Amino acid sequence: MTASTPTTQPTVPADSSAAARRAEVDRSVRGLVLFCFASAIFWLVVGSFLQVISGTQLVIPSFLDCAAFFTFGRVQPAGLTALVFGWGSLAGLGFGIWQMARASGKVVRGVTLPVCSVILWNLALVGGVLGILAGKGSGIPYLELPGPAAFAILLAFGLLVIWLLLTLRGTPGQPLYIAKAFFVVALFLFAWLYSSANTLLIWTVSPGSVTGPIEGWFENGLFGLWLTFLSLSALFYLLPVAAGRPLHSQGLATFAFWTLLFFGGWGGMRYFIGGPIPAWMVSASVVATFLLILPALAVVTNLGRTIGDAGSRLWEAPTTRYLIAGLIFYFSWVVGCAFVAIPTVSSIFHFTIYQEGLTLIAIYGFVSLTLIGAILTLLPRFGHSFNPASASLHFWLIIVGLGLFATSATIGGLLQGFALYDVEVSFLNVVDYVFPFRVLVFVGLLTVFAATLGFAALFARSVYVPAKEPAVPVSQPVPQNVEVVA
Amino acid sequence: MKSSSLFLGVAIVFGLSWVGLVAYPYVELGGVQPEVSEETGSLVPPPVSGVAIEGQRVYAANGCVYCHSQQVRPLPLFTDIPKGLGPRQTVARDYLRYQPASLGRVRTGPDLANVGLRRTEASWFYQHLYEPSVVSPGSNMPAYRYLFEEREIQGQRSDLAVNVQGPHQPKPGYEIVPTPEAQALVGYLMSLKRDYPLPEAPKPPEEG
Repeated sequence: MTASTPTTQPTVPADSSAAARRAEVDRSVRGLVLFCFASAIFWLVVGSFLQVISGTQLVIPSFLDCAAFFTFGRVQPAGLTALVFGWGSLAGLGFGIWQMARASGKVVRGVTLPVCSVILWNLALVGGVLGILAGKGSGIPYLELPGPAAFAILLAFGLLVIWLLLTLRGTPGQPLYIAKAFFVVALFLFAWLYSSANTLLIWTVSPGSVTGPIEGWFENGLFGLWLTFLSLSALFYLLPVAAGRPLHSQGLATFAFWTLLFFGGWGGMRYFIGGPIPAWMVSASVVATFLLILPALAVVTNLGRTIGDAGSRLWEAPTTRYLIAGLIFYFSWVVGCAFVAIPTVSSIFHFTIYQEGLTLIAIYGFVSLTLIGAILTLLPRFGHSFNPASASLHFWLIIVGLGLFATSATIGGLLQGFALYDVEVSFLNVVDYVFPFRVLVFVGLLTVFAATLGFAALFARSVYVPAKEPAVPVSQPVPQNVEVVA
Repeated sequence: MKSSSLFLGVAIVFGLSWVGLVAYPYVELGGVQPEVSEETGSLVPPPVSGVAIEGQRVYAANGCVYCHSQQVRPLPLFTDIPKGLGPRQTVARDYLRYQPASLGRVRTGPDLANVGLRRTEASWFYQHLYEPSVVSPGSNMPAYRYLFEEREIQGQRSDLAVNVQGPHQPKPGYEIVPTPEAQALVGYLMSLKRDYPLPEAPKPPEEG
């Protein structure tokens, strides 16, 4: 199918039969996409709740210290695992499935296989997160899931991808939109990252001397490629449509895609500056992490130019505001990573609360704001109308939380870093210096958790409770044809 | 662009990082062997006991890595060595005996790369794990009382019984003893001594 020319008012269908067709496509994947979103939101709430518990324990160490199940070192990875593998991954997959259905223009018949895959994914994650809490975790960040759970997730993922490729592959000769390219390549990268890291570190035993490089490569890829590509796919799809304009530059988008892919793979050793891995690997990662600012600049410029003077209108709408904020936090996160990759800066900031803040900004700022924005944009097409004021409240709650994370990361990181660096300062004094900032992070986690609860309630109400007025008409065109490589 | 050529391009571009950061270290670093030190005449890194290997699993399962790093970074950029975290920088070979290595991302708690050099009494570790805030006032470490059990004293007090101070005293006639897991964990922590000489990580000259 050819792309419709975006009009300045994308909600007005240019062609009513095309609009009816799109509505039919939407209806055919509605159940599957909503199931992905509902699962994702469940994990968002669970993960954020676990983060609140571990955040409390950093302030009050004796909180819930009665049982092994609730010890900090298990709750923390269980929460992060739920947020990354439950929330970010499933929300991004849900959006991607809808996007592929729209791009292919095919009405999907039979969603048993993908629904079963998502059920399997959820069951694996329930088992895996409980396993981590029960002490079956591997102790390797983001590869904590016990071997069988990781395998089940990969199996579910594989089945889902096979179904996607069989049913929703575009017709030959169809242009590949940049948004779709980000999504399908993300699928490829996740399979590679997760199977490779699990094979070498979880399913088989490798000597500890290789743990560092592989876990760094994986963690960096998980955030910098998998979650980044899923989120950028949503931004590249939704922002031009919302602005009612074609993407500013195909060339810039292509540049961002390839540079992100190239530098994104190499950034992982920035966690080990001065650490026990060969120096050339660290140097390569420092350079790559720094150069990742280039694609980030390209993305921000491209989407910023696309939005143009529609910016204030998009900022006022409670849904697109999430997307714009997601874009801003994407850039901040990339710059934040590059900053701490400078070896001199790393000698102060590494190992501090700065790193923890950066992770929270990636998860809640970039990924969550973007994907919540994407879900809110699709909700009126799948569910019923929702209260914009409530979506706006959640937004500001998350922003307050992110502000607290950023403050504690920079100021707290600076104080903690200099204290850790200073030969005269004892470790227990370092704990004292950073304590007020841990309280700020805790308050931030609480506000974010409140926002996630509110967002979950909004989602449930919109899907299950019929509103008085009919849902927004389904009429969005797909974005203009931007090919990855012309 | 055809999707086949897109994926070929993606595979090549991303594959480079996989070759450089996964395959190469897997072969090269995974292949390093212990060797006989010319300086001391003994094997470096020294073999570690089965208890310590078991303790590494306890360390991993309880997420110690989410607060404690195990890396000593070199002079002159980093102050780890003057801060007493270890006599020399740590290198890949130092982690050969453990699966996996727990390098860590944060120092919410102190670095443990050489904790076995700083503390040599098992009883200190038991007391600390049982109630950190009593042994190290101001510590933000949670208590690991679940790694201990309270049992009735049978005849003589156990050698391993923890000299408990603070609020969580055993009932009269009872004692607190570490579980096998706690014993393994302490065995592991006490094995963390990276002071043997390695050619690739010379000790910096003593100052003054």
